[in-house]
Order: sequence, then C-alpha cells, then structure tokens
Amino acid sequence: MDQYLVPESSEPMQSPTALNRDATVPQVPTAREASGSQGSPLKAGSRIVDLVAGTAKVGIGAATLAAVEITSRSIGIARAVAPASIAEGPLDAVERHLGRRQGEAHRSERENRDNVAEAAESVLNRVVVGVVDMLDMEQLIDHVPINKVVARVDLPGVIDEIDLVGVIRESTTGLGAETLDASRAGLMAMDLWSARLVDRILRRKEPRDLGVPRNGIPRTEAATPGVIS
Amino acid sequence: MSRHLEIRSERAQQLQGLRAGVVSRAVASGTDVVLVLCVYVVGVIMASIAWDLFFSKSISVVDPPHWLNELLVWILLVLYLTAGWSTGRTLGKQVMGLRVISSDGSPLRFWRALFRAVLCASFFPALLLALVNRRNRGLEDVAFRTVVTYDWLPTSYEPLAEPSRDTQLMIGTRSSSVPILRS
Repeated sequence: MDQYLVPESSEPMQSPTALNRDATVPQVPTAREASGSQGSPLKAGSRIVDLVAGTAKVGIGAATLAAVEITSRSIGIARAVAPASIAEGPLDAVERHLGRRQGEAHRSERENRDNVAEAAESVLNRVVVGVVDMLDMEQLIDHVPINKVVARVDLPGVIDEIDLVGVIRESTTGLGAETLDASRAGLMAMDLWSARLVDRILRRKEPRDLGVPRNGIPRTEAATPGVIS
Repeated sequence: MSRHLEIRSERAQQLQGLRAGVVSRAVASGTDVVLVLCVYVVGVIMASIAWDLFFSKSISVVDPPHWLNELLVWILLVLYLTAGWSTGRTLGKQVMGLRVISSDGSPLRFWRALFRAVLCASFFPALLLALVNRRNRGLEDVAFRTVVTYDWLPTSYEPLAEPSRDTQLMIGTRSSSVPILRS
C-alpha cells in the first residue's frame, strides 16, 4: 500500500492555511506543489480513476447478481406454471447458464471490491495529507489550550502505571547476564587458546576431541579418522 | 525466550555441550573453594559467638588448630562438591556455565560424585591433566569416567553427540566420528 500519510516535504507548516486569523481563503496547493510533497500527480489521478472505475464495476456486478437472482426466481415460477414436458429442456439450459454467470459475477465482485478498497484507502490518504498540509500548525497550536489538556492528564496515575522497579530489575538482570556471558566467553577463548598452545608445544597434528556422546550411546572409537592437514 | 537463544556469541553457542577447557574449570573450582572457605570462616565465627552466648561470659572467636581447620574445610568441600555434582552443579560451575556428567552423557550418581569430590578436594593438581589430555580430561575424569561440559543454560542441557563440522573447523577440534578437512 502506498504510504501517503508521511509528507516528504520538510516544511509542511509553511503551506497555505485554513485557519488564518485574517479569514483569508486558504489556497489549495497547486499540482506542482502537491507533487513535490506527495508524489506523482499522475499516479494520484490514476488512483482516483481506479476508484471510480472499480466502484462502477462493483455496481455493475451487483446489478448482474440481482438480475441473475430475479431470473432464477422467474425460472422457478415458470417451472411451477408451465408443463414440465415443455419447459424442462429450455429452463435447464437457462439455469446452467445462469449458474455460470453467477459464479463469474461473484468472483468479479470480490476482485472489484478489493480493488476499490485499496484505491479508496490510497485516495483517502492523499486527501488527509493534503488537508494536513493546508493547516497552519502554529496557529492550530495557538488555538489549542495545551495547559488545560495537560492539566487533565493524570500524571501520577501514568507514573504509577510504569513499573519502575520492574524496568530497573530487567535492565540490571540483562546487564548482569551480558557481563556473565562475556566473562564465560573470555574464559572459553582462553580454554581454546591454551589447548592449542599445549598441542603446538607437544607437536600434535590432530585437534582435540571435544565431543560428548548422547545418553547411553557409547562412543565408537573405531570410527576415528585423522585430520588431513 | 530460551536462554540458549540469548547466547549471542556464535562460538559459545556451538561449544555448548562440548568438553570444557582447563581455564574455565580452574576458575570454577577456585570459585567453589573460595565459597567453601567463606562459608567455613563465617560458620566458625557464628558458632563461636553462639557458643559464647550460652556457655561463656565473654564473646570471642575461637581459633581452631591448623589440622582441624584443614580437616573441616576438606569435609565441607567434599560435601559441597558431592551435593553439587550429584544434584545439579556447584555454584562455581553454575557461574562459569559448566556441568559435570558421566562419560556416557548421563547425570552423575551420588557415589561417583562423592569419590570424585574426595579426589578433587584431596589433590587439586588433578585438574592439570586436562591441559594436556586430548579430550580435556583431568585425573578425576579419567578415574571416575566423568566429563565436564560447557553448559550455559540454567536448566539441564542435553550434550551434543559431537560438534558440527562447522564448529570443528572453527575451533580447530575434532569429534571421534566426524572427519574434518583442514585447508
């Protein structure tokens, strides 16, 4: 999905405003300005066309389904009214055809619905970004009673919600575990280094055998190959 | 999340369940000895104070004779090591991420742990054999068919049958049943 909610412009505040104090009419950004902050206008236009076309397709599909349903009911009535020997053959053929059309209409409707939802989401995102860009945030903030908003926030309650002891405990435990692991890793490296040193002094060509057999399964000493240096 | 997954060092992960080297083992044993000495000293002090509280007018710390100190520390060490190895692992091994198991991979039984503890407490240099042994086995491991493995996990860890080929190539070790080619 296209990420239109994040304007690429670094100065969104400087776009024409909707809340100017002098009650001037806000200026809608030109296509060029819009393209600078929101991507290609061609793409935006194509999404709108997609939305309209998809909506039309959904409508056509719904109408098709309704027609199929009406025809199906009509066939039921015709079967009840007309003699079976005369109506059975043609009505069966029409019903088969209707069944095929119904299946196609359902499939088409599902696809169109998905396409319309996607296109609508994209267009909506563009509209929201455009509206936000048109706002003068400075003036908007001036009009918002920040102090009243903050006064209504239950700061002690928020602080109580934060499990400071848990946070400290978690961080301390993590730090301790990391330190312990680092110490173990250091000793492990010294183990390997000392083993290699001794092996070199003893002029061993084969490395050490550090494998341990699983529970109850004896080691097969005969299967010991050499190291090819 | 499993503690095993939290081991960040790739080499450490791959060495889990393999035979530990002499340095880690020596540090773990040293930690155990220091711990036992601390417990002994604190125990003697507490016992002296308790004794004086009931049976003496003044409080003083007793100074046992040398041989008694050594004997008590030895007994305490044997009991501590036996308890640790037969039920799980000692504090020193826990800190260093080591575990003592039988050579077939099963947990250590009480009697084997006891005899191993007696040897270790009586003859510390027994560990030095691991420095030159091809399988990192100390004298106590050879005598009682035990293995000390890397095991950083807090819970019991099933040892690997053998190091993977990549591990062998990385750490320059070999398993008894896996051929390795060294370029």
